[in-house]
Amino acid sequence: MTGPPASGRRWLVVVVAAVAAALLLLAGGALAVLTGIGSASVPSEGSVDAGFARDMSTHHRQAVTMAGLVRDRSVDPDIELLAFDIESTQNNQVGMMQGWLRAWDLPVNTTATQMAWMSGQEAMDMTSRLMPGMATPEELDELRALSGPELDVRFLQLMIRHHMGGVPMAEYAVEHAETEVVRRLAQTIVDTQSAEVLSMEQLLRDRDGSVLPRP
Amino acid sequence: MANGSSGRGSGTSKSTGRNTGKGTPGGSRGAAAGGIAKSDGDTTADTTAETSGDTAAEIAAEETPADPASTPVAEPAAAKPVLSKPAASKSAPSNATAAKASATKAGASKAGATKTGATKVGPPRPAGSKSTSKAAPRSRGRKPPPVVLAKPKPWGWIAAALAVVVFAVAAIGYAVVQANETAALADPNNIEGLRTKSFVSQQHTAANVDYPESPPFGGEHDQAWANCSGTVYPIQIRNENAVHSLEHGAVWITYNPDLPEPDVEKLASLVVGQDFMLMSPYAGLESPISLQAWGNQLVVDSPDDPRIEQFITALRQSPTNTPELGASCDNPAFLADPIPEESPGAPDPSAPASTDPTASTDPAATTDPAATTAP
Repeated sequence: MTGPPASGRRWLVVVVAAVAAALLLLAGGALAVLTGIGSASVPSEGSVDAGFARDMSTHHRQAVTMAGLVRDRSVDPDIELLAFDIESTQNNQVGMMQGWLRAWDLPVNTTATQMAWMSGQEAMDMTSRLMPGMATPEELDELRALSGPELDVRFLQLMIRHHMGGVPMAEYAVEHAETEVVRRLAQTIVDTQSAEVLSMEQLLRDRDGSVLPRP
Repeated sequence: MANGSSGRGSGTSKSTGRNTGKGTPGGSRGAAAGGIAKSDGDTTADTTAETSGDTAAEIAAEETPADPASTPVAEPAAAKPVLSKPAASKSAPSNATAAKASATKAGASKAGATKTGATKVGPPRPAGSKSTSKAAPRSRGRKPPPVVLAKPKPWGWIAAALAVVVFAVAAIGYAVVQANETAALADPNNIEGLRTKSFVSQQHTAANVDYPESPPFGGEHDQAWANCSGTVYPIQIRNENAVHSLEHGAVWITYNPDLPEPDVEKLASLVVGQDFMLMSPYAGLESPISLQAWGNQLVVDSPDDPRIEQFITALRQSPTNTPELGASCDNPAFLADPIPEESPGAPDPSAPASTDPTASTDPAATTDPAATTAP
């Protein structure tokens, strides 16, 4: 009936409704964040998560190389099975870690200094530029040249050292990674490799081999 | 939701701010002081609309008193307009800023009650004195209609606010339900009757292990895992090898040797062709069927129990439960030559199992041998 007032009120209604809608959306968004719905935050380039995913992939791949080599050429069923276990498990885990990097839209490999994500750790052997526990190219050549019981013993020695070198990297990720899925896999690696070191040491003793110095 | 937010915040005016806002609700909560939402706040707007509708007049009256602290002059002005228009018009011009504040309050608070106030308010904003003079006459003539207008307008507010609220609740609720449903499938905690235990040791051992659970579902184990790529064993396999399969993320189905053949077939259909599944008879089970994953066990009576598929869905290769995530189930040597369970630790070795048929009913006797060979 009354033109001006009615339109004024309508305008107000529209404004207030719009404000209310906006505020409710904000509240909904806040609720979603609180409950973790659709959280899309992913690790960034310099994160522990990304560094761990890359360097542990590299570390794992050398284990896959050594294990594949020995699984092909050992004639000891226990060693063959152990080598297959390490090869298949770590290959699978490399796939997980590279999958994360792709999902995070980060490069799978970089030229960044290895182990830089582990701040405060005397991680790298700067002379060999190898991560802890890694076998040198010469050691890999030596492994390729061996056969029989000597191959088994050398493999156990190198793999024990390799596993021991990887554990502190995984422990650091358990402590410092921001992503749950990374911390979980890192914990898995700590547990599995620690247990495997013990069983490999037993296998080594059974074959009269001596354990190499710690990495 | 409406109640909570209405009580929480109803800022009355721009100037008053939070203090006043908090004060008002306490004082006039019943009336639900309909504040102007602009300045304040987040959830105020909607609630205001809903609550204030009915007793607009009262609200207006109450609100104004509450505000006085910040806008002393405005209060009387605002209060008066409801009762007598002339008073309002006079006060408005005198207090330029104050008038605006009170005016907006009145208008926003739906002072549907203060119809006159609302009409006056509109014009005054742009041009102070002129508008007021015009407003006064208009309001006089329109006294009766305002009452009618006041009621319908609040309904518009309510409808708008309700629409927004319903939409928001529906959208948020849908998202929450979806997220929960997805999470529920992977959550073993939703499985009724599930037994869990935390195993620290993943050590390998060549020796026989005296497991406290039967069948075992974690702990030390043999270096060799039982092949678990959808493998149905006709014999009771060695615990130490089966536990290693669990470490790799497999689900191990065990059944009492006297389980009827059709039931065994049903169980086998959950295993054959599925990765990270293995199945074997197990003598002396406390119930006909038992499922094991690392650290988890479920005992059921029937292969039709829906919890079986729940268990498999939640725990097979579970990324949160598998100790050695990524490990394989392939072990051709064990598949070709499965190691039978012979440990003295088992209460009922193979001997009782073989005597079972004779002891049990005829159907069981006939089906039992078949169960061990058929799969």
